[in-house]
Amino acid sequence: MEKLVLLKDEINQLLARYGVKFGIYKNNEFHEQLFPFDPIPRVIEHEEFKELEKGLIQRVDALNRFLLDIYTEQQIVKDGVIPEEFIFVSPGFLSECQGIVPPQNIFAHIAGIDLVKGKDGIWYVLEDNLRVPSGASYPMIARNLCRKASPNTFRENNVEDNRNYGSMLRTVMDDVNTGGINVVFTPGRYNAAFFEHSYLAEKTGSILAFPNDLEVNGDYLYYKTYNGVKKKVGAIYRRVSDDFLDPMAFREDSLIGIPHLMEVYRKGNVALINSPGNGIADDKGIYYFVPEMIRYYLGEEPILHNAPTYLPFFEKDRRYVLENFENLVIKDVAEAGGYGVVFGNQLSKEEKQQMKEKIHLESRRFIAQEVIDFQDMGILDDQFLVDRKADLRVFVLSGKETKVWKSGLTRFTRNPDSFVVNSSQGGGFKDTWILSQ
Amino acid sequence: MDIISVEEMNHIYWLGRYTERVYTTILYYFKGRDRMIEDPEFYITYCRDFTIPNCYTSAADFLLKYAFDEENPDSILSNLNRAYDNAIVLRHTLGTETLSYMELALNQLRNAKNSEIELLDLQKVLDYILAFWACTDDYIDSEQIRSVIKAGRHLERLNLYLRLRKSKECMMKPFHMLVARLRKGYLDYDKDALDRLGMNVTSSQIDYWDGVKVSETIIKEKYHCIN
Repeated sequence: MEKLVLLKDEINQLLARYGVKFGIYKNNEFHEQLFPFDPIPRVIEHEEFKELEKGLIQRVDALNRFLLDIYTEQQIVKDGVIPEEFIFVSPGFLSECQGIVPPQNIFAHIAGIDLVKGKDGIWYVLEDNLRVPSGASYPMIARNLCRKASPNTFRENNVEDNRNYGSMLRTVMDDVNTGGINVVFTPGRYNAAFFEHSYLAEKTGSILAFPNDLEVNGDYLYYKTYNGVKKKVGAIYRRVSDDFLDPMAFREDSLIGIPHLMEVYRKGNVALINSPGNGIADDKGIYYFVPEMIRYYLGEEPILHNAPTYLPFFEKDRRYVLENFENLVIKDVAEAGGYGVVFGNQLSKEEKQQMKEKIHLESRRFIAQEVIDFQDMGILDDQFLVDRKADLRVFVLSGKETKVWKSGLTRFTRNPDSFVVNSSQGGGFKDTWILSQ
Repeated sequence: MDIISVEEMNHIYWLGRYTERVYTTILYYFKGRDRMIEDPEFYITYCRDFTIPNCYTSAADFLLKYAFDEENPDSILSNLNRAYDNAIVLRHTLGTETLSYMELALNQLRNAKNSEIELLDLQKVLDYILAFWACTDDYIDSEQIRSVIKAGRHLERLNLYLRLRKSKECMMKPFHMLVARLRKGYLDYDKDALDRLGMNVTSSQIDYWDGVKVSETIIKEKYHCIN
């Protein structure tokens, strides 16, 4: 591993050569940035990962069962396990999806589960990302380049090969395909994750489709070729958010959507990966109920831990949150990407008062969590090894089977005082090694 | 036939054109810079030869802006940016390995801006473009895609040679290569315009300006320039 550390600059140059970038908008201008890579990997022991794997499969299976239930029978609400206030007013719940049962009953084909490891050695789930989770391409290409830079490192360490993500994703696409070609649907070159869209299209052998390339004709979706032939599409790995997916069903001002796509989807004539409406299951408020969901649908005890979470919606929790405000992190359920997260102890007296009033008035809008004292990870800052906060996004893929990709995206903050690891806020990434024995 | 959209076909065609434009321009720029050692005002002739506006206030201004000014639509960097813009949306078609040479060329040109050995740096840009073309031959299985890139290249070279008033002998090779590519039938083209261009470039009295205009009408309008 020492060799990899010495080759940090060379590996980052290779990443630049292969265009491993992400886009951000500043002052309404698009900028592309390299994603800083730290060569010291996160290493997860074989046995430890096996346990994680079981917990992740259990969690994602339950979330898929929940989505099927919510858009059909809503039995979990009728049985009083989850209050209806957390379902129907959630912006993630899409009434347009009511009654739709997707191929293989799978809604969340690709789940990005964000975890942190506490200093107590326990893994905690921070978030479930079931809409369009991104990030798998980065450790996949970084591994390829690290193996090129230092083959001996990988000869001397028994690391699971993570370069199979493309074939795993392809299998999922094939499993749910309704008959036709597979496409990766991107909003375009100026999307933050465009590198990933194009890279995954290449690695899955799919067509990369832009908004004008796809059209609904009759009951089917087609890809328009330059010579006038239309190819039926059987599965879309769409990287366009629900709001913009179909202007006839969602935002009518969307210029990047496919008119009438939802009608084709409702008729079962195309698979959407991931399904629209998944936002109801990765709502920060619903997160609180996932352990109960596992018990309810699977009759099992949850293997993975949630971070201790309080819902101000419940009076008892609200009282606790207001009394222990300084020790908690408050999250706005409507925000994502590290935004809308405040630490109680970092607010001024006035800000605290304002936030407490908001919690009173809009209790459904917030959740509060204990600040997990999670393990720091060593990163190279210039030539020096320094400790920084890091999380892990693990990818769980569901088709005919639910499988966990034996790697993950480890994101770290470069700011010593920050817990926010998002790339859009200046963070970097590491490879994640799963030891094979 | 491969599954390719109209827009993708446009990108493939214009990728061929812009990479060729950068390549031929740099070669000619080397010659121009050589002439400017003895004759600094040669840049005026250079602009006239290329039929680009002489928006430069002096030889020094030309040296500063012609290669590296992103705001100048005729600069080498602007043309390479357009090649890159067409390539970056084709990763699934070209492959990451092929695309990496476009990244290298662009990074090299941007980094050469303040270099004291800019012509040597530009030589590396040429090397990367040649490697990029070699990769398109080596890594792309689809003959259709390879052919369209090459048709774009040959047409652009012919167009530039006409602007530069090259001899009939110079014109023959890109013309025949263009015809060979178009005859494969992967691009809609105007046969009459191609014939007219052929008669022109093979005649003893080439009408250069007519050649430039006709060369721009050979490929059908749907392959419009998207940059």
